[in-house]
Amino acid sequence: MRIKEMAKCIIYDGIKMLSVVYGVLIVSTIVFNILVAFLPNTRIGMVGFGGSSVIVLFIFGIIYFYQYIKVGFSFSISRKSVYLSFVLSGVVLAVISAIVTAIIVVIAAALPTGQSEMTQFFPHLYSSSSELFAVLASVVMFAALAFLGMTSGCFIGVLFYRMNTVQKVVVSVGAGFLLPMGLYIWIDLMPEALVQAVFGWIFAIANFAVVSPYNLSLVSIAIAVVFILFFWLLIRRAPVKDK
Amino acid sequence: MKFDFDSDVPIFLQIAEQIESGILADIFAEEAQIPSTTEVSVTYKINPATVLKGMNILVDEGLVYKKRGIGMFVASGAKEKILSKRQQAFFDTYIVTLLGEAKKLGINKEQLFKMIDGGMSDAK
Amino acid sequence: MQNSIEVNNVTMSFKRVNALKDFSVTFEGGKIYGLLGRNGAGKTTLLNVINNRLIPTAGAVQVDGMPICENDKALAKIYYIGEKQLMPEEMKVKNYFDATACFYGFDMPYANRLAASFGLNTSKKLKSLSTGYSTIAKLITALACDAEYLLLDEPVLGLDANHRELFYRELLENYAKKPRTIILSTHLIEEISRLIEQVVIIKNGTLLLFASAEEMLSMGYSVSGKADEVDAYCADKRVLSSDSIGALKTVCVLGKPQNVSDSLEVTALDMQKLFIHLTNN
Repeated sequence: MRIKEMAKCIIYDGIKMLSVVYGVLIVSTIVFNILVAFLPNTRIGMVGFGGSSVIVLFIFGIIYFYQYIKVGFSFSISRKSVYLSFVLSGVVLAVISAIVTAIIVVIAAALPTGQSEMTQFFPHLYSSSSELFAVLASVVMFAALAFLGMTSGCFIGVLFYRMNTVQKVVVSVGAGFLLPMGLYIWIDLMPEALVQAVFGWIFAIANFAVVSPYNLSLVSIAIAVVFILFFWLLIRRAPVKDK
Repeated sequence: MKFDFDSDVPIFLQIAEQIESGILADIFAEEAQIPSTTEVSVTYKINPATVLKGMNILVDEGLVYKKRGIGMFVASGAKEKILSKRQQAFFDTYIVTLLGEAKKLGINKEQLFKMIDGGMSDAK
Repeated sequence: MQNSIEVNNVTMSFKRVNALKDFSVTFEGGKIYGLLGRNGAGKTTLLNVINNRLIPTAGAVQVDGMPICENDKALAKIYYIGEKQLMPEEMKVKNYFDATACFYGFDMPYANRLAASFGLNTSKKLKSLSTGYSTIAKLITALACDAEYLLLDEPVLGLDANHRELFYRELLENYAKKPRTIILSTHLIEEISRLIEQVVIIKNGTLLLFASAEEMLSMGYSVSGKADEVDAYCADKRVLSSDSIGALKTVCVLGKPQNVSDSLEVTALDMQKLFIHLTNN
């Protein structure tokens, strides 16, 4: 099955990229810890693995989408299969990176310096529940966030693939500038009640999300699904490009 | 085998003719195998279907037969058949051209007969 | 229809251009086709539509009776090589072979033998290959894969004469051993005129000619001789082209030779000359 084959390739490339980043993080953390060990009252633990995997998979999604859509065209693979390969790979890579992060964090927690990412977010969770539960919650949370990272990366990837040069310039340059502008204008123009309602909803979701890792996972996956949808809409009739 | 790709004779016919000539000249003996379609196709860069068409003409005329899984072989009596076929065609193929060329060069009947005589004694 | 590629009323429009207009053609299985056309006529567009790289504005393509659009089952039967190398440029040739083997049945020993014949170093990265060797790498993947339908777009681009000759031999051997449908799109008409069984000519996005190579070549003939005699002969004939050197003239004519006098020489029609005549405006 072509989806399986392509997913295997994508996952393999993903693991390579994650390994490199994790390798660098581990080495630099160890170096920092050694340096800092001589300073009194400082604790540096193993942090950043969860967050970095989200960013890595985001960048991975952008870059490797462009590579694999072309590979797909080379071997007469349907856009549908390329799309499903990415979604499948996203799930697998998110889970793998989350498990690896959890393992690293558990190991780090056992070390003398003892601080870890997990205790920084949702601190109330760790005081009131077992270690295993905390780890599980973190794995689910990091997996969901990583999946969101990958799917949003794929979306940006296909977006840029479909855009012509003019559109690319406008979006790249304008996004940071036009978006807030557009938001201000929209807030000014729309009736007060509507604006309040929309922001009300946004805050409600945000408040819901920060209650627990599972809530955050749910919200992340929901947003990821939106990205997946747009990813499909943009890829389904994507033409082969000159380059 | 030599092909004249400039000639207005279709290639599949040329293939049949060339193999016939080969049989006549004892290059392909009776019951011996003739080059396969693939060999001819690859060597002369001719589409295999075209080559097969040419070979099938020979099969239809009973000059060559197929042995399944092995190849094509010259049928016994093929040389005789080709000989008589070509003797009949000799007039059209050569005599007409000869006469036409002789006319162009202004060679009359007497000179022509003398030449033929001379040529035949030389050949002995 | 089984064992064929059916293009049904395909129209492909880009922003200001209609690359293919209501185009219909059927490629029957097991034959070698020559797809000919001038630059911009629509050859690559047609192959891209057949290959699902472009989704047509109208119409559809069927392979072995199955619609091709986004259909992996049908698409798995097709392998296309085009001008652009879409594989990552950092990839090595041998990994390119491996990648092809992931998605198609692939004869790796054969591929390596071909690489040796062509003098291609499989450890080189794709980006470091010259135009010719880049084409050769693609060709080898096409020959060594088991796809039932090979679409070869400009397969000898950048190849020197020796390599072109080698390619044609290998192609014919490959085809003879295991016949499949091969569609060759090229500008080197004379070189492939005897290689192909069937000719398809595209002009301005429409089908101009669909005939066997034999039929096409028998559409006309060349007559040469003294200029005034040739002119006299051709007075009532449809002339495709004429070339003169001094008083010696050669004219390409449509139709069958009739009552040609002995002073004129009749030779085969140049497929390229016929093509040029048919596709000139």
